[in-house]
Amino acid sequence: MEPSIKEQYLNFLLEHGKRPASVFKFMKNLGQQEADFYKEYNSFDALEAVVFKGYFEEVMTDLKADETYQSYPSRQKLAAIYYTWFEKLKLQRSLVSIMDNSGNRGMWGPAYLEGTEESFKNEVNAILIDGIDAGDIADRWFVNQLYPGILWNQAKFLLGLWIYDNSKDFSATDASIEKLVRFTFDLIEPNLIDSGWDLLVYTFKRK
Amino acid sequence: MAEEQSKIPTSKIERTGKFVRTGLKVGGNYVKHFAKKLVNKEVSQEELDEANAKDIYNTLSELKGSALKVAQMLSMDRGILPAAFSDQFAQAQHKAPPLSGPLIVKTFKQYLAKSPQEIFDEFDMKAAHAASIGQVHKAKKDGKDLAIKIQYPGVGDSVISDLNLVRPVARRMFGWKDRDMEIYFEEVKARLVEETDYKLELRRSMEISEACKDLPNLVFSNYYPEYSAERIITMDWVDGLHLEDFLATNPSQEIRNQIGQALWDFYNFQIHKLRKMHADAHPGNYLFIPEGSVAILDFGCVKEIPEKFYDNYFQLLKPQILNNPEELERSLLAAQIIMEDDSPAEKELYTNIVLEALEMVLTPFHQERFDFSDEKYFDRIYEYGERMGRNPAMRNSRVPRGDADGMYLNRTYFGLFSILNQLGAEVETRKYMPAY
Repeated sequence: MEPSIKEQYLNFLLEHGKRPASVFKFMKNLGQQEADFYKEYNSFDALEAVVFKGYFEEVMTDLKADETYQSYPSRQKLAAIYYTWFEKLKLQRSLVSIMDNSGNRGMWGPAYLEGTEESFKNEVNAILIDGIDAGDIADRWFVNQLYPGILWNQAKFLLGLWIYDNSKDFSATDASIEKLVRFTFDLIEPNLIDSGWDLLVYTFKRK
Repeated sequence: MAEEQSKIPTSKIERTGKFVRTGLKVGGNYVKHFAKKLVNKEVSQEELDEANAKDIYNTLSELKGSALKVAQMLSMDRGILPAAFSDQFAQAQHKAPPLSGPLIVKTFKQYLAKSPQEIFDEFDMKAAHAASIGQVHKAKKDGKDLAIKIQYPGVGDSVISDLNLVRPVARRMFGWKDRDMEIYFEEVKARLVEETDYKLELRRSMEISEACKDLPNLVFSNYYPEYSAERIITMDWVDGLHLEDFLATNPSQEIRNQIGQALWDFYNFQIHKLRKMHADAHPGNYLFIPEGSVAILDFGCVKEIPEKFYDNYFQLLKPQILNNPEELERSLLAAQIIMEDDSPAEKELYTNIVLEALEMVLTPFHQERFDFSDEKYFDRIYEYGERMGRNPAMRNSRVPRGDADGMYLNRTYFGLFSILNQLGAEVETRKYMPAY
């Protein structure tokens, strides 16, 4: 079977270390029409986004099949997602770094992350809802809705760190994940903020 | 878990902040101290030391990795530290925050290609206790209880930056001169970097346990190289008590002596026969078994004893050298305690200081048996340490004196003596010593 456009494109990236000059040129080299490309993807950015989203979805499938993961409280689930994601990306590190170097950057970050964002937020949202039910995360009404966005920014930050991580075995990324997840969950679990709010509300109601 | 984790400073900046705050607090303690003194003349230096130690300890206990390690190392040098400091630091030996479950799994997959659940029949994800740069988990395989030590990520990298953070604080706290710090910190740094290499530790553990296996009343774990890697060490689980808990069971004098002797033999056998030693003689590295034996853990810090240094050092311990001034001078020159270009007055000064120290270190060797519960002996050592700390001749020496090898050997002997003292053991001291 003829390798798919996606495979040919990823091969091109790995061989050349950069993007093809244009969709036209890329398809011409494959001996195909430019239009065939657009039947599947509307740009290189879109293709990369699909690939990247695929990695993340594989991570989630692996994790959900894992009993240990199922037994984790929400804070450890998030850490597990990060660790497994970077393990997966490690297998494609050259590719990720080429995409990061040569891809377009939108206002909210690199274009190749566009598909991943939605999947990530959905998964994280499910974890947050479970966490709120289980009581490890404080129910702060509308503030809850901000969490997936904040965590997505955190994930992007960690990805940037990992791309430029020169420490042995990426231990700097590991340490950052530990610390960031700990910090985040210390903020969103029931804590001082909630008891303070509760006290405040109580005081004003009594007046 | 949340509570344990919530107080860990996350960045170097934050850690620096911690140290600065401690500095301020300690400053505050002095202000309080003098204010109290105005009203009440009785307020003692000890009270101030205690308040300072508490604040320093609180800071250090919130740090992990090498800073904690430094606290441990300092806690051993009871001769250098006022008693109040070392008591607080001693607590640091059992505390550190846990790794997250996913990171444990990841570390296993990374180095052994399998998750801990796949390798072992049972694996407790909750750490049984913390080691200074990692944590220990309990597991089971083929009916055997195992202990698995996992290292925190990035410890190697943070060693140097952490040490640099501790340095100015240590200087102020202990009143060390820069060059004393330099010698001390260079040694500590070298040991710490070695300690992060679990492969090296595994090799040494197996080597030393094998060499010492015939010594009575010592327990060594079996090690499992197939389940060990750069950041993982797997060994047999040992049930035993930490020193304080063991002492709380009120062991008989006979048992105390038996354990004391085992430790004594362990160290002297290594120093005199193996010429390398487990150089981390702090109480956290032993588990005491109430039936009268002791398990040795953690071979992270092993010091090789160079031949030349050994000959010279133990030359100085020979009683007859005191009657032979030329030979004594030669030995002291070799140990860099006195220098060729010292004035005669300086030579005499430092020779006398060393003779006094030697006389003390030698005391246990003068008798067949020595009772380490002798508080008078230890008071004399502490008193000497404190006097030397204040002695301007020691502090203002124009060159650093004494070599790093000597520092380690002294520390090891001293650590051993201090544990034997806490045990209240009486031991036979002449075993394994070279004949004089």
